[in-house]
Amino acid sequence: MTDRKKVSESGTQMRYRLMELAATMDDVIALGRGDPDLDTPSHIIQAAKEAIRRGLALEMPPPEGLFELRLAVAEKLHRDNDVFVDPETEVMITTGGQEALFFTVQALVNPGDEVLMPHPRYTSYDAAINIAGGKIVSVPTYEEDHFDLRPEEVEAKITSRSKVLLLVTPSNPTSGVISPTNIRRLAELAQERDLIVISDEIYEYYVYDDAQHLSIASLPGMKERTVTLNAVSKAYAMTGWRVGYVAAPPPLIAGLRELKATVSRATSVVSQWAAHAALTGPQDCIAQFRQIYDERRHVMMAGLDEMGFVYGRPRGAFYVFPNASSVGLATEDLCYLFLKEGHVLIFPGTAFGESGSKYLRISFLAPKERLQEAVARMKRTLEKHVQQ
Amino acid sequence: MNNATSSPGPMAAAIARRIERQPLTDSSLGWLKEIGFEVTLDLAGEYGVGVLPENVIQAVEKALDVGETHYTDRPGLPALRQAVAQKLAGEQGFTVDPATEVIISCGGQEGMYLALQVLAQPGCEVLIPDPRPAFLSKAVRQARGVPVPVPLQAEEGFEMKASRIVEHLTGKTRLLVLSNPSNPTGAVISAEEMARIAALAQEYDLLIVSDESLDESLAGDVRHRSVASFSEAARRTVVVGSFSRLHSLASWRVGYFAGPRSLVQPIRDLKQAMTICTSAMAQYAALEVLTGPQGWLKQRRATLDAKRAYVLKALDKMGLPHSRPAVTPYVFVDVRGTGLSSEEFSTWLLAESRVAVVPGSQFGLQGEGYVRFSLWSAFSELEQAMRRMKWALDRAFGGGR
Repeated sequence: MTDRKKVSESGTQMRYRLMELAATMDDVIALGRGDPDLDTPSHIIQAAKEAIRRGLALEMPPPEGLFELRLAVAEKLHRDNDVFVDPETEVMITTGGQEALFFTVQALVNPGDEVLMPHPRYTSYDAAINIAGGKIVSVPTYEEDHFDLRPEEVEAKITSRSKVLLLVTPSNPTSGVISPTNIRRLAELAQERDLIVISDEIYEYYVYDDAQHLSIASLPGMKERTVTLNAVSKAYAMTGWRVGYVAAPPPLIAGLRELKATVSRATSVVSQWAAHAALTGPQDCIAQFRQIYDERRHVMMAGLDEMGFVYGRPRGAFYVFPNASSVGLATEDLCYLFLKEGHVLIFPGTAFGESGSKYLRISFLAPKERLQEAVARMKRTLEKHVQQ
Repeated sequence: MNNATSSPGPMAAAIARRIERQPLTDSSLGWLKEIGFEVTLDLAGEYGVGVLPENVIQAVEKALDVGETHYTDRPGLPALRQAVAQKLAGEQGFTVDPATEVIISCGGQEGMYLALQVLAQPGCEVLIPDPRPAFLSKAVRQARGVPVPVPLQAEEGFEMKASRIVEHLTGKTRLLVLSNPSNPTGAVISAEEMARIAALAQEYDLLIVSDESLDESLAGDVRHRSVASFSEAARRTVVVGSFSRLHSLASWRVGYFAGPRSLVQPIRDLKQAMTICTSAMAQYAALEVLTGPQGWLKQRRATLDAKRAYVLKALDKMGLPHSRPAVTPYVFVDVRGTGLSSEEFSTWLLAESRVAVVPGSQFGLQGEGYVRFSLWSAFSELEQAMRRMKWALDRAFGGGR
C-alpha cells in the first residue's frame, strides 16, 4: 500500500495550509483565495430557482452541456470577443474553469510535450501538466513590464518539443495583462512555430487603466489553433456554481466530450441554467463589479505605497503582486506573520512558483473599509516585527 | 455559423494519445434517436428522474437566498461530510473522520474516476467485474492501468466470488474494483462471500475501490454489506457513493468518496486540481436529502419495489429468464433464447416496439446475451412496455424461443 500518485505540488499545498490556519482564527481579513466576496447577481439566482421549479433540472444534460448554454457561449464570444464558433461542435461546458483547463491539457499534452507558460502563474496548471506527463517551460514575466508577456522571451524558449503556449490574460497571480501588440506578435509566433495556444481569459472583464483585453482566437489564422477557456466564476461572482467553458475546433471538443463522459458525465444542470442567465441576461453587473474592484485596487495600491512596497501596476483581475524583498524576510514567513499577528490572510508569491519568491499575492476581494483595516494591520505588524 | 473551421486543421493533429475515439454513451441506440427515431418508452436510462420533494427545493432556495454561491470547503460542506460519515458508520460500521476522510464529488462517477487515477499505478493490473459500468475500463486505461475483467457467471447470479478473483491475480495486481450492489446486473455480494474477499485483499495486499452507488436502492428487505465493514478491508478501501439513483439528484452531479486518510487525501488533491470543489447548490440539495425527512424516499423505494415485482412477473410470463436483482432500478434479462445478440435484440425491440433498453454487451463480454432494463419510468409506461414486448416476442418467435 505504498507509492500512490502524488498530485498536489507545494504551491497549492502552501495556499491550503494558510487557509486552514486562517479558518481556526477569529476576525481574519481574508485576502487570499480568488473567490469574489460579492454575491451572484439576483437575476441569476432567480433564474436558477425558476429552472428548478419549472422542472428544467430533472434530466441529465449531455456531456458537452445544454445546447441552450452552448448557444449562449457562442453568442457571448461573438459579442465580446470577436470569436465565431459553432455551438454544436466548437463549445464544451465544464465544471468550472479548472476542469476546462485540466481536460484541455489532458486532451493535448502527451508525455514529453513541452508547454510554454508565463511565470509566476497559478499552480493548478502545473498539476494538470504533470499528470499528463508534459514538461513545463517557464517564460518569465517582469515587474517592470507590469507582468506583460514579452514575445521575444517566449520565442527564446521554443524548441522542437514545444507543443502548447498557455496564455493567462489578465493573469492570476500577477494581474498583468498581455497588450494587444504582444498578443498579435504571439499569434504570429504560434503560426510560424506551429504551436497550439490555450488562452485562459477567465478575468477578461476586469481590466483597468488603459489596459485592453484581446482574444487571440479573434486574430486571422488563430481560431483553428486556439483553445479559449473561460468561466462564469470570476465574471459574475459565481465560483460556487462551478461552470466554465471551452471554445475550440471540433477535434478538441470531441476529445473533451469523451473525457467528460468518462470522468463525470456532465456538469450540474442547475448551474448550467444559472450560467445561461448570466451570459444572456443584463450585463450591467459587470460594469458595477469592475468599478468596485477598481476602487479597491486604488485603496490597496495606496496602502502598499504607504508601507513602502513596490509593485508592478495591477492592470487586470483582482490581485496585486507586490515585491516584498525590502522587508528582509522570506515571504512565507512574512505571510505567517501577517496572519498570526495581524489576522490578515495573503499568499506568498512562492505559492505561485519559484520565481515568485520575492512577491506577495493580495486579492482585493473585501469591502474598501476592510482593505483599509487590513493595510493598517499589516503596517502595525511590520513596525512591530520587522526592521525596515 | 459562416466562419466554421474546416477540419482537419492543426488541432486534429494535436490531440493527445490518451483520448479514445470510441464515444461513451448510455446506449448504442443513440444513433436512432439522432436520425429522429422516436423512442416512446425509455427503459435504457441510467438514472432516476423524479420531481424533488418540496423540502429539498426549499433547502436549495434558502442556501441561494443567504448567498451560498461561493466555493465551499475544498472537501465539501462540513455538515454534508458529517452526514455521510454518520451514514457509513450507522449502516456499515465503517468509521471515517468527516474532517479528513470524506470528500464530496461531482457524482459517484467522478469519485470512481479520481480514485482509479490515483490508486492505479502505470502498468499495474486492476481487477474489474464483468459485467461492469461502461466507464470503468476507460477510467482504468486513462490511469495507465491494465483492466483485467473478472468474468461473473450467470449461474452464480453474477455475484463476485473470491475464488474468481484468485484465478486472475498476478504479481502485478494492485487494485480490486467492486460494484456492489452491481450495475448492471443488480446482484449483491453476500456477507459470507464479502468476508472471503476482504480476507483475500488483506492476504494479497490489494487496494479496493468499492462502487456502492446503488446502496440506497435495495429491493425489499435485502441487505448490503460493504467490503469496508470488514476489518481486514477497512483500511485499504475507498467507498464511493452517489445521490443519483433513488435520490434523483443525478443531474445535479453530487456524490462522495470515503476511506482511510492515506488513500483519500491524494484523491482529494486530484479533485482539487480538477474541479476545486463540487457545486455548492448540489451539496445543499444532498445535505437535505440525507438529513431531512425520509418519508419520500421510503415511498419511492416502495414504488420501485412494486415495479420490480411487476416486471419480473411479466418477464416470467414471456418466458424470458432474468437476474433476481437485489436492487430495484435494474433488471438484467437473458435474451439468448431469441437467438439474437444483445445488440440485435435491443435494436429489434426498439424498431418493433419502440422500447429502449441497453444491450448487455456494453457492460463487457459477460453481458453478451443480456439486456438491461431500467425501471425509472412510470408504472403505466412499464406496463405498456411489457405488453408491447410480449406482443412483439410472440409474433417474431412464437413459442419456439
